[in-house]
Amino acid sequence: MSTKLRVRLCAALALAVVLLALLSPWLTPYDPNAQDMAAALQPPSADHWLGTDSHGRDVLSRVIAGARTSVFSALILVAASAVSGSVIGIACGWFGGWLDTLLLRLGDLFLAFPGMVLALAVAGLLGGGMGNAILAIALVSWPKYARLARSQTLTVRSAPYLTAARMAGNGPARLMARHILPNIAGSLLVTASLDIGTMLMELAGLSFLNLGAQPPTAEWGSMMSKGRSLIQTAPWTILGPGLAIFLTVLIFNLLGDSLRDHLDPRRRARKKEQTS
Amino acid sequence: MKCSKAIPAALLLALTLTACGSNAGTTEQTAGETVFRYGTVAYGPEMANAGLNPHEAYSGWSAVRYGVGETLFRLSETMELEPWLAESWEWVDDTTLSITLRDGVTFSSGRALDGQAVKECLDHLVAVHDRAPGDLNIDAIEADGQTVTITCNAPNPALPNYLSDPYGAIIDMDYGTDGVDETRNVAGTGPFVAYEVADDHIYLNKNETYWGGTPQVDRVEVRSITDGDTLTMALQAGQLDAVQGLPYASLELFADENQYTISSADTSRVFFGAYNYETEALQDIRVRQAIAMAIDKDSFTEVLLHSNGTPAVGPFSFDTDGVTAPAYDPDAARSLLAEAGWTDSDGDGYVDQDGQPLTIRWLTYPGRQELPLLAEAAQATLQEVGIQVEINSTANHLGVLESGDWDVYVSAFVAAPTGDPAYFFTTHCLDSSAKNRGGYHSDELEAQAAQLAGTFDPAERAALGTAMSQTILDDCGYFFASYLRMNFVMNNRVTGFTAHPSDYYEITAQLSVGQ
Amino acid sequence: MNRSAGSYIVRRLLQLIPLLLGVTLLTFAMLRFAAGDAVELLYENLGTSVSQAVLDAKRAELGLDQPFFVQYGRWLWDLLHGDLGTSYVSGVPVLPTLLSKVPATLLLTGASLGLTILISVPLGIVSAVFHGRWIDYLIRAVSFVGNSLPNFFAALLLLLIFAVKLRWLPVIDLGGGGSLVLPSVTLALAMSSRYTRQIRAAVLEELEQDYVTGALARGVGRKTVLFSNVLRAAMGTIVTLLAMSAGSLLGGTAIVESIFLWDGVGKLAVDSIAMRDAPVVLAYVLWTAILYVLLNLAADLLCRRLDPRVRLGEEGRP
Repeated sequence: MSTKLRVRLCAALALAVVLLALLSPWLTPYDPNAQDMAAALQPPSADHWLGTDSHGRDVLSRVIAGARTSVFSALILVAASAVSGSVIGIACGWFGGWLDTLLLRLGDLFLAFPGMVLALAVAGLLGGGMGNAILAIALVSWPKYARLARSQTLTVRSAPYLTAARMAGNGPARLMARHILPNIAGSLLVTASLDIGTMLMELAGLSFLNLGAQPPTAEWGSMMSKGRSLIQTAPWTILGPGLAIFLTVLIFNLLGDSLRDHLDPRRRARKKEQTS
Repeated sequence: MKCSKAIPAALLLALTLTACGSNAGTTEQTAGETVFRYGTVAYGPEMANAGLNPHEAYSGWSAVRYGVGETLFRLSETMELEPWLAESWEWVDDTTLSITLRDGVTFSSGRALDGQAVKECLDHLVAVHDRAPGDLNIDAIEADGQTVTITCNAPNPALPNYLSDPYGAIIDMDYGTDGVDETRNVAGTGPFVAYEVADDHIYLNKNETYWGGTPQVDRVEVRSITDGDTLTMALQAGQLDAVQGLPYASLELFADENQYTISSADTSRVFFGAYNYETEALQDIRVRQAIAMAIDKDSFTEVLLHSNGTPAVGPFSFDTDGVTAPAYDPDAARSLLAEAGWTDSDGDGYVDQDGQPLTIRWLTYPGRQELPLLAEAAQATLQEVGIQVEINSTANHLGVLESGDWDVYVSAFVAAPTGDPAYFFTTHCLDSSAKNRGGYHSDELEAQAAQLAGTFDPAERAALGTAMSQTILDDCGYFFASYLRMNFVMNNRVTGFTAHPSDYYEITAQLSVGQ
Repeated sequence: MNRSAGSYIVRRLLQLIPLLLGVTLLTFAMLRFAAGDAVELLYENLGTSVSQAVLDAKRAELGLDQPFFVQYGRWLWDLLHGDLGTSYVSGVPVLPTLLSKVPATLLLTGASLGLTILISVPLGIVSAVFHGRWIDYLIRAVSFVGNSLPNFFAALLLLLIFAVKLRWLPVIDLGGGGSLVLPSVTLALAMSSRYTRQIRAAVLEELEQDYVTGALARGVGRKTVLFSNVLRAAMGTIVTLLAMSAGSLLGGTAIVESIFLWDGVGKLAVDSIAMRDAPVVLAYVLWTAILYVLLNLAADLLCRRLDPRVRLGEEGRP
């Protein structure tokens, strides 16, 4: 399979996940929040494909409804930390000097800060809810991207072709956008694609601290952590959200991999040599 | 090259550490010895009951629970007061209580229990403890042989009850420094003597000279296991003989009566809701009544608690017959709301008034697994009658409570820790109550409370307690959802291990482990 | 080189001071301004009630009634004298408490990292060398599973299978040994998945470098190139990853610790945060921040030595 085809396939799958999340309110067979105590903890059946949870809610409907909360939160989180981190990192790498030192130290502060303490503090100051959970994790996640982008920028900056491009009269903004970004995008994307899974987990972890989604909002991570005691007696309550997390992580990881292969300039160059 | 050596070195380090680690903390059983291995979620620094020193925070609970300490009075299965280390007691006048001690009791240190020992212990208790001085309000203690005479600063009819609180466990003050050694161990009078005390475990030997007969078990290992699933699996794997605090969902795994026994008791811990009277809509009794009628207590206890809880009526689990509360009745709730002027005029499913929907900010906390479940269940049933519930389940509930951004606050509270009814009302429902954060006020209740303060006869006090419960229920001042049922689950070799409604008594001389 | 490396180390260590100041000040502020204080939580969590006078007395005893900067200043002053204070909750000195949890954490960190390396290095290399073949796809598929399993779920699943059903290993440590296996496997599972992918990517990247092509063209054997050049270069990735993982593992793994009753720093941290037990939280934050700096420094120094471009430059081209 050519890398281009693979990128397209994976992108289509990822798009499908996003579409599912977007259209979830119209796709659920039942109201995801409708409780029916008489039908609590029923195993999968023709009526309820993934069974019902402790409140008698349809697990499939909650998995579908949860796509919106979980997928969007993870995407926003990764996007926010990757974009802000990369911008800062590239700026640090390119300009160096006091800006570099200042931002690096600030990044260090957040990296060295235990995420848990920060998350709880954010909850204490701003209250619970998904938005604040995203903020808390983003605060400790951006420096990772900044460091990555910075070190990549440093490597690329001294490369001969960049010196050539600079001598050709390109300004810093153009250099960064046209020459540095494409060169470092690959590793950033690999990290980001892997991070989507990690972020889903982190958000799930925060629902332990009750910083995540507030009831009755369906969210995969909190569905799993709430169902954990049912692992032996009603495993379907965990299986549904677990599979959803797995598939989402899988799709975004594959997308990241194929993107990486596709964007890699060296490989692209080689491809050209081979085809020409 | 450095790195290729670093990796095996790290592995070697890990393996060495593993080898060291597996030697530590060995608690192998010796031949012929009977050991009771007990896992509980209720012991540890987070519960403020680590160690065995009754004069520190809540550690007295541990001393009494694990059979080390005993109090002068104890509570019966029906939460009535009976003598324990005391033999008899008598009110000399309104402020003077005379207690005659049991003969032939010795501390594990060897010292005999007499009036002087009790005086030393209680004097130190009121000198250093946080809650005891206020509860007991002691002016002076006199000892004479086996008699102790306690004089209070003011009439204190609940004094014997307060002395049954675990902080009243009698310890030998000559042991260690001020009765405690550096590991927080103490010398009590109970059936077991601790030989190792730590933040996550207490190991005990039987007290060969126990006054109440020889204990059946040679050794007891109490372990703090805060994760409910770990607790479940350790019992399943046969690593523990009994556990306390299993998740409700796990209980059905132990339903096989040929293998396991479950002992349950309704405790006096109640899950209940208080209203914020600053909220205008809640000042209308019909709205509060509608809320009370829209909470399906039976479904909550049957389905979500897997039948491990009792639907509550009033604050006291031992007093459910004498009081009545609104029953679950969504239709009646809807008509009450309509009567109060709340109707669904815009057809969005929620009732409104002057264009404002009826939204209840439901504040609770996740520290007790039942509370978020109750919140979600109530959210659904209140929606049925047209009330929108916004749940805020947060560990920062106290902060929110102070900020006033709440309408209903649902919490868990030990309503009658020593069986006496006064405690719940004086802490929650009076103008002077520290926890009356919603601003509840009732003239009738204030009068009844004043009367209770001067009533000494236990039966009369109980009757007044019932009347006061009815007063706040008639007012719809609070709603009471359920009582916590505590469970001990044990394998079938264990006998004499019974859950008690007070939550104080766990390991006793009757405990026995068969082969 | 040596002198410059020495001054580099000193410079990095000096950066610890502002970092620690910033981190502790931030923590102090957060604990102070987050709702709920230690004293109230202590009594409220127990479902019992005490009077305001008792609360005030306890606050005064702990110095919580003092202004913010007085409290922070006092804490700093004590810290400079080697005193980390005593816990609000247990009343026990903080430093011995923290130190008593460190061996367990070190043990779990060492074991899980060792296991991770044992699993991920071979898998990552195989996956890269056989890039695009079925074995590559298989390894990556397995790594996705590891990457999408929340660790509490993996822990419960492992316990259920190996401790409850098969009874090969204990659920809790009664002294019979073997209690280290399941928690380390739980942690290694997720880390190995990440590592395998990262090592695969790093090795792939190196394999495409010009020097590899050059070496191969010069007739150097594929295996020789792989083991002497490529792996050494990819080691940089591994070292950086290790430093990051070690940092977060040494900071404790609260969920795994509480499931496996592992008495490490993670559980201490979560409990103390939940109780707003400031002295313990601050000591914990200090611990993680110092670890972070030291581990990163170590990783940077190692990476400098391992960078193949530097080496190639030094050795000169043939």
